[in-house]
Amino acid sequence: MVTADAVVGRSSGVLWRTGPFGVVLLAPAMDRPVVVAGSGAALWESLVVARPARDVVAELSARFGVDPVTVEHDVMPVLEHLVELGACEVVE
Amino acid sequence: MTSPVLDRLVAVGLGPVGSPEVPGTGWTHVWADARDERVEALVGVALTTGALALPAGLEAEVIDAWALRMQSCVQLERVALEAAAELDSIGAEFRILKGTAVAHLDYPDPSWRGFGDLDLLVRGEDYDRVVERLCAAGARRRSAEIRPGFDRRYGKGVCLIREDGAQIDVHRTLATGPFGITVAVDDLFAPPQHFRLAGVELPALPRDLRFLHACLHAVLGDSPPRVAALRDVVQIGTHPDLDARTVLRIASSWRVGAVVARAVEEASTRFGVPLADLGAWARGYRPSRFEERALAAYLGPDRSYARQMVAAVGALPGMRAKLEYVRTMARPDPDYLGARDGSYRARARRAFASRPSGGRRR
Repeated sequence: MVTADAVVGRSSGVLWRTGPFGVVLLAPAMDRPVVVAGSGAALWESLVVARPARDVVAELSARFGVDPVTVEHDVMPVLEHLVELGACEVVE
Repeated sequence: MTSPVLDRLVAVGLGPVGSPEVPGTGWTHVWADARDERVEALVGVALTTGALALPAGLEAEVIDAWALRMQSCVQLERVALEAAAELDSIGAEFRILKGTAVAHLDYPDPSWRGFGDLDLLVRGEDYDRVVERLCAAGARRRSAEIRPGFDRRYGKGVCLIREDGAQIDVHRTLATGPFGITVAVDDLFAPPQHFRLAGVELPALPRDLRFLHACLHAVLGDSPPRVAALRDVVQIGTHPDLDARTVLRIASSWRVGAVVARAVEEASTRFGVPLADLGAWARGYRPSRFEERALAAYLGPDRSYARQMVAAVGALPGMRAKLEYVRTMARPDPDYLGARDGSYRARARRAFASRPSGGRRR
């Protein structure tokens, strides 16, 4: 479970591309790449440096001018999914 | 030859964006060419930067194809990391060539440059054990060697296919035939330029050699040249840090001036982008007799692998080396012959018969 206080960053062994298609990710434990569409690319960009999930939410909220609660609702499951895939890791 | 519309789309990012291309009914052919040429990514960039206008359904098709190509690229990057670990484990020096390296080192973003295989350069003395190692790890040769040791000595390299279908081209030099022989392969192991994949630093050719390789690949790899290969020529050739004097010095020592001049002229014309000093040099370049003869083996309807291999005789230094090469070509391995269903000798005869004037002996 990724909490708002958890510091999350990209895993070091992940291969990726971003674009209008979202983010293409291939982590070491994955058999084949996945595409995280929608806000995936923006989320991936915001994880260039490991940081608390709540800061990621705040940044995306400010960037897109969307209410933080709505952003948190959208982003936390994606973040959770990325950690499960091994593309991201909780660093502390 | 691709359509002028596709050429303009592939030129995205090389100059200011003008009014968007609106391909209309010709789009089906443009898009088929784009996929065939593996430039879905550049078409995607053109779409998202306003250089291309399409109806919504077709936009989605382009974006989906771009995503698919990028999935293939990251899978090939995993192959690169695995191959690099195999080569490191046997102490074989290598360089990553072409798309995998160029995407990271030369384009504004690696998502702009798609690629369809992995290209590795290794030293001739390491060649056999590298191929053996990669085959032990599950790859297989796509074609047999003319004779054991031929590739290590004279060949461009070999194509290996992994169990997952990924293709690894192991290169000993940068071209088949005569220009593959005139390339001074030790030059290719000059201090590398590195790029990072998944936290691992991988060695590539330095920029001047990447540019020369792009020129050789564009002109010698296919006739007519593939549009992605020409885009690489312009992409690397317009970089402000490219040292034209170094490029031309090496081109002269490799006897590939005619190839570089042709690549520069063709790429500049196709994309309408001048290559400053290199462009002026290319326009005034006069190829040597050797270059003219050698280049003829790669161009036009008579282009063939057999013809390039026969033309390579002229690039070998000294009579002893030429005789040894011809003897090797004349006595191919039974496995190699068996895979060709008797066509090898017929193709070799045709290739000798079609040598350029002046090269024919009675």
